[in-house]
Amino acid sequence: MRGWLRGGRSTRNYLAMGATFLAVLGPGIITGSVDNDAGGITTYSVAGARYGFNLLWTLIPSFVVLFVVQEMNARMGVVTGKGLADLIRENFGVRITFCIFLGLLFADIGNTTTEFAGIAGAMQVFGVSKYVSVPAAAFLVWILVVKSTYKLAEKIFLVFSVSLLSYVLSALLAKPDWGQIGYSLIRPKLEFNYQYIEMVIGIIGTTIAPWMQFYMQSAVIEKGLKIENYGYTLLDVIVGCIATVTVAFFIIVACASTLHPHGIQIEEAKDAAMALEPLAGRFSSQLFAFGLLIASIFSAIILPLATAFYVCEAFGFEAGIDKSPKEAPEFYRLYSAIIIIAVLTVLIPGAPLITITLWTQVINGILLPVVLVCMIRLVNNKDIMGPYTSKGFSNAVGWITVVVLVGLSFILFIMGLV
Amino acid sequence: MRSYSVSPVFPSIYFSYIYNTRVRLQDGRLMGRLADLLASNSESGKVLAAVIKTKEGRLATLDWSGFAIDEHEHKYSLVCRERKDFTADDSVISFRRQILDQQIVDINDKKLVRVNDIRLVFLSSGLFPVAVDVGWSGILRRLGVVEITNDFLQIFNRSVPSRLIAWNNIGFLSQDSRNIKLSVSYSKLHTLHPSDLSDIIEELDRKTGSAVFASLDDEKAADVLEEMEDGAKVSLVEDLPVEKAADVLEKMPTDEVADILDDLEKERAEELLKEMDQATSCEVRELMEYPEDTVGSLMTTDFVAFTADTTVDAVFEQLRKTKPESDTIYSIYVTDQTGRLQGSVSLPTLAVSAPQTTLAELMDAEPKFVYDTDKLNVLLKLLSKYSMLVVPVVSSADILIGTIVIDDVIYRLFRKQGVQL
Repeated sequence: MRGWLRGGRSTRNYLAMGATFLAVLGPGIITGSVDNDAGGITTYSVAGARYGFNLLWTLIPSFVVLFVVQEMNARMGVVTGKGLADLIRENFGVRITFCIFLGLLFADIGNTTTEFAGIAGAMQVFGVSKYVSVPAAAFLVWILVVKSTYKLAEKIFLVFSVSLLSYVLSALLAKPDWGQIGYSLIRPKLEFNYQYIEMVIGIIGTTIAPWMQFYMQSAVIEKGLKIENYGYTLLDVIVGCIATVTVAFFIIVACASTLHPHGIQIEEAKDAAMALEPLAGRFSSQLFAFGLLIASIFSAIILPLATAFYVCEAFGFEAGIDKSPKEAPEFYRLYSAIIIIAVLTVLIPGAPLITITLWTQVINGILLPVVLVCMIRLVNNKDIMGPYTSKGFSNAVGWITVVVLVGLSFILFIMGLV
Repeated sequence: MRSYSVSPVFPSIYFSYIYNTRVRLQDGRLMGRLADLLASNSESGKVLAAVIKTKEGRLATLDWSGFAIDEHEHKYSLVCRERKDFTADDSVISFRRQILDQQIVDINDKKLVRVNDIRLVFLSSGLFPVAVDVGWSGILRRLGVVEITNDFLQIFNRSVPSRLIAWNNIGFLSQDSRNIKLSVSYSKLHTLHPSDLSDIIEELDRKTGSAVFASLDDEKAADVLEEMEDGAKVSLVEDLPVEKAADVLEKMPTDEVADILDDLEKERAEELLKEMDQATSCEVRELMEYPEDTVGSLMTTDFVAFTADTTVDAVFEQLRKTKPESDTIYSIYVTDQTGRLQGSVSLPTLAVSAPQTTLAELMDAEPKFVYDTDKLNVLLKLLSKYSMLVVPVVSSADILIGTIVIDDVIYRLFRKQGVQL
């Protein structure tokens, strides 16, 4: 009944099983796909190039945590009908809310910058200057947000999800050594140094980005799902998580089987695309760039919009693209500011994009445990969740994740000092 | 140090000043912290009790009359002079659980807002809330930086914008399911216009929206439902108990009911049809059977018809008695004993005619009409050619079975083109 992309829901033929699944199918899969944005692709590519198949194992705990976290979001959304921002504000007060959303705002400005940098990088592979591609992309984003309807948006989402398959192709073209992949998954070579730990946190952090929790919950509410159909919602969450991890897997594999053996070090996703050309052919390189482009545009559409929406939701300002700028001034100012800052940053010659990406990941890394703790407390609150509070497994995974993340970050911090 | 209990000078404070502050006993020993205030659910909102989270971590609900507030250089604390237990009943409202940080409706602006702070005033008869703060000033005060920000803005000759909503202009929303059953009355919300109310309900989360909707009387609920978007209509009807939903739907035009039931799960629609009165459910069932592109799918079976020998006076008397929806009396129809359409009289014609004139003298004896099985374009041609507001619909035997109002046609056309209303 609410949301930033409001539209009618079709519940016709709700009885047919397949139709029911299709009707509720979406939030998990879409969130899972948005997850693999420019930042994600960069992290996975760098991990593959630097450590070969050695970091593939991180995808297994990532999958478990991703599933547990998103299931919590889905359940909270279905049971309360409220967004995560609403729930945090209503239960933890202004101070914690303010800190979380200040962090989220900075992280998402950084994330959006990374998305536009991704667009610039991908188009460079096709020989287009960033001074042309980035303004053009910003315009496209603006048009899609202002002019699109919910139906159209959903279709674009699906096209986007499918386009992520280009990474699977890209990886297969690189003819990976499956035996070795299997071996590294079962017996990974663990290392204990600054770079390795940083990479592990990076992978977990990008797979389970804090803003996604807010997005997932809103998407579930947007669909108007009910607890009676929770089985289907659960299925959708699982499919979405598998999609995320599968795409991440193939990106790592693509880079690990081409760049790693030749010792090619990369800093950005576009470096990976370019480095692929002499090793796996022009087609593979362009496929990789195409995937990066679509993922970046897609996230550049959703991220600023979602961020502006959650901030306004938490502080009680009117929000949503069905409102006019006069009705919702804070929402439109925030939204425009995020895009403008991001676009300008990318266009500055010699902008420190890699430093920005790094800092964004650091903020995300600090934010994730905080958001997780809030979520675990909410989802265990009987007054909010009634009989649908969390059970042992879900809580255990949640707390372990928080402890491990905080622990790893702490070790990283100490190592950085030494 | 100043101390307020029953103060003579009407000082006012914000709830954020005292929320979570220390509560001491008269001898200075720490008792705990203020966790909540409970106020009367009546118009005045008089503060009745304080909920203290004691040192031991328990919650104690105590009568407010035993407390005083101390102020020392803008630092506030509470003193418990007398410990009187308070038993909360249904007539109290919780500041922490139902107002602070929660959404409320600004009745004047007809908007949903979030409460950042509550302004309280001391009167001789006790402590009363006067307004809620929904602006930036409230957020900054909670963060403890409102003074600094104000000092800074002073350089530019400005101050932090504050937005207060008077206590009696607030519609409370938040229900609370804790051990003390605090129930909010939605009576303030009921004063809003149906279209404003429908906007607010659409904006709310499904649970709260459904609760507000369920609190409306059948007539008002029907009006609100008509103003909703299709998706929201279906969700609300799904959430309502079957008997209530049936009562509300009976108050709506049959074509709208048919549209809503079409979008519901089949079982649920069937349950509702069974619950509705026989006549209405039969009409709705018939409407649901018409294919999408026929006139029948658009028509409503609500219309007003008389025999030709009825006088104008008698017509008005009947209208006064039955009070039909306004859009069903743009035109009055004349039928014979078997219900066959004979003519139509417009409301303006009726209004300017002498009381004793019969409809036979006034009616247009060759009324324009469509058949229920006609395709929509037949109707569109008729509407545009004769610029009619309402078109009567007859069955193949020329029996008057319904009407089509131009609003519904426009709505259908918009929907076909995917225009969001």
